[in-house]
Amino acid sequence: MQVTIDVDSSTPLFAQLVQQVKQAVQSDQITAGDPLPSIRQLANDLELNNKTVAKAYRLLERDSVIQTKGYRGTFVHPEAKDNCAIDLEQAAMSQLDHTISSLRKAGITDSEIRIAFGNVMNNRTIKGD
Amino acid sequence: MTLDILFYIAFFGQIVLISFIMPRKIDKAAHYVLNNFPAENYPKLYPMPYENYEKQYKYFVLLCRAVLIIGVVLLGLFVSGVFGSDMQRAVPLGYFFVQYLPLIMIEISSRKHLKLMRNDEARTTRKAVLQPRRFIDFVPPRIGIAAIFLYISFAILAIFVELFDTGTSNGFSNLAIITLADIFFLGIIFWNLYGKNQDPYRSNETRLEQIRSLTKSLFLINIAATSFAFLTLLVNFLSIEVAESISLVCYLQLVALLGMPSLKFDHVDFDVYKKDEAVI
Repeated sequence: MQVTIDVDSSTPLFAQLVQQVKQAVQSDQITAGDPLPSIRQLANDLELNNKTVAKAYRLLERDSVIQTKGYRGTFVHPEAKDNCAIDLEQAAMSQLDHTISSLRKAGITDSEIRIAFGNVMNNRTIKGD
Repeated sequence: MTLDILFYIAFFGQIVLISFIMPRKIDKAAHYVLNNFPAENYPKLYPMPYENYEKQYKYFVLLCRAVLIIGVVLLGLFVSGVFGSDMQRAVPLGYFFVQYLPLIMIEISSRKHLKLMRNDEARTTRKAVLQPRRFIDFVPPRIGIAAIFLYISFAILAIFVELFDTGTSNGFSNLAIITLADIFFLGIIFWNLYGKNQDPYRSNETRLEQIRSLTKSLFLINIAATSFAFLTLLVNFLSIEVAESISLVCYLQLVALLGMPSLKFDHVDFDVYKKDEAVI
Protein backbone atom coordinates (compact mmCIF):
# COMPACT_ATOMS: atom_id res chain seq x y z
CA MET A 1 0.00 0.00 0.00
CA GLN A 2 1.45 3.31 -1.13
CA VAL A 3 0.69 6.82 0.15
CA THR A 4 1.20 9.86 -2.05
CA ILE A 5 1.71 13.33 -0.64
CA ASP A 6 1.35 16.42 -2.76
CA VAL A 7 3.46 19.22 -1.31
CA ASP A 8 1.71 21.80 -3.51
CA SER A 9 -1.79 20.84 -2.38
CA SER A 10 -3.80 23.27 -0.23
CA THR A 11 -4.61 20.41 2.15
CA PRO A 12 -2.08 20.29 5.01
CA LEU A 13 0.47 17.48 4.71
CA PHE A 14 -0.55 15.79 7.96
CA ALA A 15 -4.22 15.87 6.85
CA GLN A 16 -3.31 14.22 3.53
CA LEU A 17 -1.56 11.48 5.43
CA VAL A 18 -4.48 10.96 7.85
CA GLN A 19 -6.92 10.86 4.93
CA GLN A 20 -4.89 8.33 2.97
CA VAL A 21 -4.35 6.00 5.91
CA LYS A 22 -8.11 6.08 6.58
CA GLN A 23 -8.85 5.42 2.90
CA ALA A 24 -6.41 2.49 2.96
CA VAL A 25 -8.21 1.04 5.98
CA GLN A 26 -11.65 1.54 4.44
CA SER A 27 -10.63 -0.09 1.16
CA ASP A 28 -9.05 -3.04 3.05
CA GLN A 29 -5.59 -2.29 1.68
CA ILE A 30 -4.41 -2.43 5.27
CA THR A 31 -6.32 -4.43 7.84
CA ALA A 32 -6.54 -4.66 11.64
CA GLY A 33 -3.22 -5.66 13.19
CA ASP A 34 -1.10 -4.75 10.16
CA PRO A 35 2.16 -3.07 11.14
CA LEU A 36 2.80 0.50 10.02
CA PRO A 37 6.16 2.15 9.39
CA SER A 38 7.80 4.12 12.18
CA ILE A 39 7.43 7.91 12.22
CA ARG A 40 11.08 8.30 11.24
CA GLN A 41 10.88 5.86 8.35
CA LEU A 42 7.76 7.44 6.89
CA ALA A 43 9.09 10.98 7.40
CA ASN A 44 12.35 10.12 5.64
CA ASP A 45 10.58 8.31 2.78
CA LEU A 46 8.20 11.22 2.21
CA GLU A 47 10.91 13.80 2.92
CA LEU A 48 8.72 15.37 5.59
CA ASN A 49 9.50 16.65 9.04
CA ASN A 50 9.18 13.99 11.77
CA LYS A 51 6.74 16.29 13.57
CA THR A 52 4.35 16.30 10.59
CA VAL A 53 4.14 12.51 10.53
CA ALA A 54 3.96 12.39 14.33
CA LYS A 55 0.97 14.77 14.22
CA ALA A 56 -0.80 12.58 11.65
CA TYR A 57 -0.12 9.47 13.75
CA ARG A 58 -1.37 11.27 16.88
CA LEU A 59 -4.65 12.16 15.16
CA LEU A 60 -5.05 8.62 13.82
CA GLU A 61 -4.41 7.27 17.30
CA ARG A 62 -6.96 9.69 18.77
CA ASP A 63 -9.51 8.40 16.25
CA SER A 64 -8.55 4.79 17.17
CA VAL A 65 -7.49 4.01 13.62
CA ILE A 66 -4.00 3.04 14.70
CA GLN A 67 -2.45 2.03 18.01
CA THR A 68 1.09 2.21 19.29
CA LYS A 69 2.38 -0.78 21.21
CA GLY A 70 5.51 0.63 22.81
CA TYR A 71 8.77 -0.53 21.27
CA ARG A 72 6.96 -3.09 19.09
CA GLY A 73 5.75 -0.32 16.82
CA THR A 74 2.52 1.04 15.40
CA PHE A 75 -0.32 -1.16 14.18
CA VAL A 76 -3.73 -0.77 12.60
CA HIS A 77 -6.36 -0.69 15.39
CA PRO A 78 -8.62 -3.80 15.65
CA GLU A 79 -11.68 -1.59 15.15
CA ALA A 80 -10.05 0.76 12.68
CA LYS A 81 -12.58 0.17 9.91
CA ASP A 82 -15.57 1.13 12.05
CA ASN A 83 -13.69 4.07 13.57
CA CYS A 84 -12.79 5.44 10.14
CA ALA A 85 -16.49 5.89 9.44
CA ILE A 86 -16.86 8.29 12.36
CA ASP A 87 -16.48 11.78 10.98
CA LEU A 88 -15.43 14.01 13.87
CA GLU A 89 -15.44 17.08 11.64
CA GLN A 90 -19.06 16.44 10.72
CA ALA A 91 -19.98 15.92 14.39
CA ALA A 92 -18.33 19.23 15.34
CA MET A 93 -20.14 21.03 12.50
CA SER A 94 -23.58 19.76 13.53
CA GLN A 95 -22.95 20.65 17.21
CA LEU A 96 -21.87 24.17 16.24
CA ASP A 97 -24.85 24.50 13.89
CA HIS A 98 -27.20 23.61 16.74
CA THR A 99 -25.49 26.13 19.10
CA ILE A 100 -25.57 28.95 16.50
CA SER A 101 -29.31 28.36 15.89
CA SER A 102 -30.11 28.68 19.61
CA LEU A 103 -27.96 31.83 19.91
CA ARG A 104 -29.71 33.41 16.93
CA LYS A 105 -33.08 32.54 18.48
CA ALA A 106 -31.94 34.41 21.60
CA GLY A 107 -31.40 37.51 19.43
CA ILE A 108 -27.62 37.50 19.25
CA THR A 109 -26.23 38.79 15.96
CA ASP A 110 -23.80 36.83 13.74
CA SER A 111 -20.94 39.26 14.38
CA GLU A 112 -21.47 38.93 18.16
CA ILE A 113 -21.44 35.15 17.81
CA ARG A 114 -18.20 35.33 15.78
CA ILE A 115 -16.52 37.58 18.37
CA ALA A 116 -17.72 35.41 21.25
CA PHE A 117 -16.58 32.22 19.48
CA GLY A 118 -13.18 33.76 18.76
CA ASN A 119 -12.77 34.90 22.37
CA VAL A 120 -13.72 31.49 23.80
CA MET A 121 -11.34 29.71 21.41
CA ASN A 122 -8.52 32.12 22.20
CA ASN A 123 -9.02 31.74 25.95
CA ARG A 124 -9.02 27.96 25.63
CA THR A 125 -5.86 28.05 23.53
CA ILE A 126 -4.09 30.23 26.11
CA LYS A 127 -5.24 28.01 28.98
CA GLY A 128 -4.22 24.95 26.97
CA ASP A 129 -7.51 23.07 27.45
CA MET B 1 61.49 -20.76 0.02
CA THR B 2 58.22 -22.69 -0.58
CA LEU B 3 56.46 -20.28 1.76
CA ASP B 4 57.89 -17.35 -0.20
CA ILE B 5 56.59 -18.78 -3.50
CA LEU B 6 53.19 -19.37 -1.94
CA PHE B 7 53.21 -15.76 -0.72
CA TYR B 8 54.06 -14.48 -4.24
CA ILE B 9 51.16 -16.48 -5.68
CA ALA B 10 48.77 -15.20 -3.00
CA PHE B 11 49.91 -11.58 -3.44
CA PHE B 12 49.62 -11.91 -7.22
CA GLY B 13 46.06 -13.13 -6.64
CA GLN B 14 45.32 -10.03 -4.54
CA ILE B 15 46.68 -7.72 -7.28
CA VAL B 16 44.74 -9.46 -10.06
CA LEU B 17 41.46 -9.80 -8.14
CA ILE B 18 41.14 -6.27 -6.76
CA SER B 19 43.02 -4.22 -9.34
CA PHE B 20 42.19 -6.11 -12.54
CA ILE B 21 39.07 -8.30 -12.25
CA MET B 22 37.05 -5.90 -10.08
CA PRO B 23 37.66 -2.81 -12.26
CA ARG B 24 36.84 -4.89 -15.35
CA LYS B 25 33.54 -5.91 -13.80
CA ILE B 26 32.76 -2.27 -12.96
CA ASP B 27 33.76 -1.27 -16.49
CA LYS B 28 31.41 -3.91 -17.95
CA ALA B 29 28.56 -2.74 -15.71
CA ALA B 30 29.13 0.93 -16.59
CA HIS B 31 29.09 0.14 -20.30
CA TYR B 32 25.95 -1.95 -19.90
CA VAL B 33 24.11 0.99 -18.31
CA LEU B 34 25.48 3.58 -20.77
CA ASN B 35 24.64 1.45 -23.82
CA ASN B 36 21.24 0.18 -22.74
CA PHE B 37 19.93 3.23 -20.91
CA PRO B 38 21.20 6.25 -22.87
CA ALA B 39 20.72 9.84 -21.75
CA GLU B 40 18.23 10.55 -24.58
CA ASN B 41 15.71 8.03 -23.24
CA TYR B 42 16.62 8.09 -19.55
CA PRO B 43 17.46 11.75 -18.83
CA LYS B 44 16.79 11.47 -15.09
CA LEU B 45 19.63 8.98 -14.80
CA TYR B 46 22.15 11.59 -15.90
CA PRO B 47 21.84 14.84 -13.93
CA MET B 48 25.27 15.95 -15.20
CA PRO B 49 26.36 16.49 -18.82
CA TYR B 50 27.50 13.24 -20.44
CA GLU B 51 31.09 14.60 -20.85
CA ASN B 52 31.47 14.78 -17.06
CA TYR B 53 30.75 11.07 -16.77
CA GLU B 54 33.30 10.35 -19.49
CA LYS B 55 35.90 12.46 -17.68
CA GLN B 56 35.25 10.75 -14.33
CA TYR B 57 35.37 7.36 -15.99
CA LYS B 58 38.73 8.22 -17.61
CA TYR B 59 40.17 9.16 -14.19
CA PHE B 60 38.86 5.90 -12.74
CA VAL B 61 40.53 3.83 -15.48
CA LEU B 62 43.81 5.75 -15.06
CA LEU B 63 43.78 5.28 -11.30
CA CYS B 64 43.06 1.55 -11.65
CA ARG B 65 45.98 1.16 -14.06
CA ALA B 66 48.30 3.10 -11.77
CA VAL B 67 47.33 0.91 -8.81
CA LEU B 68 47.84 -2.22 -10.92
CA ILE B 69 51.33 -1.06 -11.93
CA ILE B 70 52.16 -0.29 -8.27
CA GLY B 71 51.10 -3.84 -7.40
CA VAL B 72 53.28 -5.39 -10.10
CA VAL B 73 56.25 -3.26 -8.97
CA LEU B 74 55.72 -4.34 -5.35
CA LEU B 75 55.57 -7.99 -6.40
CA GLY B 76 58.77 -7.46 -8.39
CA LEU B 77 60.45 -6.00 -5.30
CA PHE B 78 59.46 -9.08 -3.31
CA VAL B 79 60.63 -11.53 -5.99
CA SER B 80 63.93 -9.69 -6.48
CA GLY B 81 64.55 -9.78 -2.75
CA VAL B 82 64.51 -6.00 -2.16
CA PHE B 83 61.61 -6.57 0.24
CA GLY B 84 62.30 -9.31 2.75
CA SER B 85 59.84 -11.66 4.43
CA ASP B 86 59.52 -9.13 7.30
CA MET B 87 57.56 -6.93 4.89
CA GLN B 88 55.16 -9.68 3.82
CA ARG B 89 52.48 -8.53 6.24
CA ALA B 90 52.70 -4.75 6.09
CA VAL B 91 53.01 -4.32 2.31
CA PRO B 92 49.94 -6.37 1.21
CA LEU B 93 47.85 -4.71 3.91
CA GLY B 94 48.97 -1.20 2.94
CA TYR B 95 48.56 -2.00 -0.75
CA PHE B 96 45.05 -3.34 -0.05
CA PHE B 97 43.99 0.13 1.11
CA VAL B 98 45.60 1.71 -1.97
CA GLN B 99 43.68 -0.77 -4.15
CA TYR B 100 40.43 0.56 -2.76
CA LEU B 101 41.19 4.16 -3.79
CA PRO B 102 39.45 3.84 -7.21
CA LEU B 103 36.39 2.34 -5.50
CA ILE B 104 36.37 5.17 -2.97
CA MET B 105 36.52 7.57 -5.92
CA ILE B 106 33.46 5.87 -7.44
CA GLU B 107 31.64 6.06 -4.11
CA ILE B 108 32.32 9.81 -3.80
CA SER B 109 31.21 10.39 -7.42
CA SER B 110 28.03 8.41 -6.91
CA ARG B 111 27.16 10.43 -3.77
CA LYS B 112 27.60 13.60 -5.83
CA HIS B 113 25.54 12.10 -8.65
CA LEU B 114 22.66 11.22 -6.29
CA LYS B 115 22.76 14.69 -4.73
CA LEU B 116 22.40 16.26 -8.17
CA MET B 117 19.53 13.86 -8.91
CA ARG B 118 17.76 15.01 -5.75
CA ASN B 119 18.34 18.67 -6.62
CA ASP B 120 17.00 18.14 -10.14
CA GLU B 121 13.83 16.45 -8.98
CA ALA B 122 10.88 18.65 -9.87
CA ARG B 123 8.05 16.40 -8.69
CA THR B 124 5.62 17.83 -6.18
CA THR B 125 4.30 14.44 -5.14
CA ARG B 126 6.17 12.07 -2.88
CA LYS B 127 5.43 8.43 -2.36
CA ALA B 128 6.04 5.97 0.44
CA VAL B 129 4.96 2.45 1.23
CA LEU B 130 2.89 1.87 4.37
CA GLN B 131 5.00 -1.06 5.41
CA PRO B 132 7.72 -1.10 8.04
CA ARG B 133 11.24 -2.05 6.99
CA ARG B 134 12.52 -4.22 9.77
CA PHE B 135 16.18 -5.12 10.12
CA ILE B 136 15.33 -8.76 10.80
CA ASP B 137 13.52 -9.09 7.45
CA PHE B 138 16.70 -8.26 5.54
CA VAL B 139 19.12 -10.63 7.26
CA PRO B 140 19.20 -14.17 5.83
CA PRO B 141 18.48 -16.34 8.93
CA ARG B 142 21.42 -18.76 8.51
CA ILE B 143 23.91 -15.97 7.92
CA GLY B 144 22.52 -13.99 10.88
CA ILE B 145 22.74 -16.98 13.23
CA ALA B 146 26.26 -17.80 12.01
CA ALA B 147 27.40 -14.19 12.60
CA ILE B 148 25.97 -14.12 16.15
CA PHE B 149 27.38 -17.56 16.97
CA LEU B 150 30.82 -16.59 15.67
CA TYR B 151 30.83 -13.31 17.57
CA ILE B 152 29.88 -15.00 20.86
CA SER B 153 32.50 -17.72 20.29
CA PHE B 154 35.12 -15.08 19.54
CA ALA B 155 34.19 -13.07 22.62
CA ILE B 156 34.50 -16.20 24.82
CA LEU B 157 37.87 -17.03 23.24
CA ALA B 158 39.10 -13.44 23.69
CA ILE B 159 38.15 -13.47 27.39
CA PHE B 160 39.70 -16.93 27.83
CA VAL B 161 42.92 -15.80 26.14
CA GLU B 162 43.12 -12.69 28.30
CA LEU B 163 42.69 -14.79 31.43
CA PHE B 164 45.14 -17.57 30.63
CA ASP B 165 47.55 -16.19 28.06
CA THR B 166 51.14 -15.41 28.88
CA GLY B 167 50.81 -12.01 27.30
CA THR B 168 51.47 -12.54 23.60
CA SER B 169 47.84 -12.32 22.41
CA ASN B 170 45.63 -9.25 22.57
CA GLY B 171 42.22 -10.75 23.26
CA PHE B 172 40.39 -7.63 24.39
CA SER B 173 41.86 -5.30 21.77
CA ASN B 174 40.88 -7.79 19.03
CA LEU B 175 37.41 -8.03 20.51
CA ALA B 176 37.15 -4.24 20.59
CA ILE B 177 38.20 -3.96 16.91
CA ILE B 178 35.67 -6.59 15.82
CA THR B 179 32.94 -4.96 17.92
CA LEU B 180 33.66 -1.54 16.42
CA ALA B 181 33.59 -3.02 12.90
CA ASP B 182 30.23 -4.67 13.70
CA ILE B 183 28.82 -1.37 14.98
CA PHE B 184 30.06 0.37 11.83
CA PHE B 185 28.41 -2.26 9.59
CA LEU B 186 25.17 -2.08 11.56
CA GLY B 187 25.28 1.71 11.21
CA ILE B 188 25.52 1.42 7.41
CA ILE B 189 22.63 -1.07 7.32
CA PHE B 190 20.42 1.09 9.57
CA TRP B 191 21.27 4.20 7.58
CA ASN B 192 20.11 2.43 4.42
CA LEU B 193 17.01 1.04 6.14
CA TYR B 194 15.73 4.15 7.86
CA GLY B 195 17.72 7.01 6.38
CA LYS B 196 16.68 9.36 3.61
CA ASN B 197 16.12 7.84 0.20
CA GLN B 198 19.26 8.79 -1.71
CA ASP B 199 17.81 8.18 -5.17
CA PRO B 200 14.51 10.07 -5.50
CA TYR B 201 13.39 8.03 -8.53
CA ARG B 202 14.25 4.55 -7.28
CA SER B 203 11.26 2.23 -6.93
CA ASN B 204 10.48 0.63 -3.57
CA GLU B 205 11.24 -2.87 -4.91
CA THR B 206 14.66 -1.79 -6.18
CA ARG B 207 15.42 -0.13 -2.86
CA LEU B 208 14.45 -3.23 -0.86
CA GLU B 209 16.51 -5.48 -3.12
CA GLN B 210 19.55 -3.21 -2.78
CA ILE B 211 19.25 -3.13 1.01
CA ARG B 212 18.92 -6.93 1.06
CA SER B 213 22.04 -7.36 -1.06
CA LEU B 214 24.05 -4.85 1.02
CA THR B 215 22.99 -6.46 4.31
CA LYS B 216 23.97 -9.92 3.10
CA SER B 217 27.32 -8.66 1.84
CA LEU B 218 28.16 -6.84 5.10
CA PHE B 219 27.16 -9.85 7.21
CA LEU B 220 29.42 -12.10 5.11
CA ILE B 221 32.32 -9.67 5.51
CA ASN B 222 31.61 -9.65 9.25
CA ILE B 223 31.72 -13.46 9.34
CA ALA B 224 35.00 -13.48 7.39
CA ALA B 225 36.56 -10.83 9.66
CA THR B 226 35.45 -12.58 12.88
CA SER B 227 36.63 -15.97 11.61
CA PHE B 228 40.02 -14.54 10.69
CA ALA B 229 40.38 -12.80 14.05
CA PHE B 230 39.25 -15.99 15.83
CA LEU B 231 41.79 -18.17 14.00
CA THR B 232 44.62 -15.66 14.41
CA LEU B 233 43.95 -15.40 18.13
CA LEU B 234 43.74 -19.18 18.49
CA VAL B 235 46.93 -19.71 16.50
CA ASN B 236 48.80 -17.13 18.60
CA PHE B 237 47.47 -18.61 21.83
CA LEU B 238 48.46 -22.15 20.89
CA SER B 239 51.77 -20.86 19.46
CA ILE B 240 51.27 -22.73 16.20
CA GLU B 241 53.70 -21.79 13.45
CA VAL B 242 51.79 -20.75 10.36
CA ALA B 243 52.53 -18.43 7.50
CA GLU B 244 50.54 -15.43 8.74
CA SER B 245 51.34 -13.30 5.71
CA ILE B 246 49.80 -15.86 3.32
CA SER B 247 46.65 -16.23 5.42
CA LEU B 248 46.38 -12.42 5.63
CA VAL B 249 46.63 -12.02 1.84
CA CYS B 250 44.04 -14.80 1.31
CA TYR B 251 41.78 -13.15 3.88
CA LEU B 252 42.05 -9.75 2.15
CA GLN B 253 40.99 -11.38 -1.12
CA LEU B 254 38.05 -13.05 0.59
CA VAL B 255 36.92 -9.71 2.02
CA ALA B 256 37.24 -8.11 -1.42
CA LEU B 257 35.19 -10.90 -2.98
CA LEU B 258 32.45 -10.72 -0.37
CA GLY B 259 32.35 -6.94 -0.44
CA MET B 260 32.25 -6.72 -4.22
CA PRO B 261 29.35 -4.41 -5.07
CA SER B 262 26.38 -6.05 -6.70
CA LEU B 263 26.66 -5.18 -10.38
CA LYS B 264 23.55 -7.02 -11.51
CA PHE B 265 20.73 -4.90 -12.79
CA ASP B 266 17.95 -7.50 -13.05
CA HIS B 267 16.09 -6.04 -10.07
CA VAL B 268 16.61 -2.38 -11.03
CA ASP B 269 13.60 -0.67 -12.53
CA PHE B 270 15.12 1.74 -15.06
CA ASP B 271 11.74 3.00 -16.30
CA VAL B 272 11.63 5.44 -13.37
CA TYR B 273 14.49 7.40 -14.99
CA LYS B 274 12.57 7.95 -18.24
CA LYS B 275 11.36 11.37 -19.22
CA ASP B 276 7.95 12.27 -17.70
CA GLU B 277 5.20 12.21 -20.29
CA ALA B 278 3.73 15.63 -20.95
CA VAL B 279 0.31 16.17 -19.42
CA ILE B 280 -2.09 17.75 -21.93
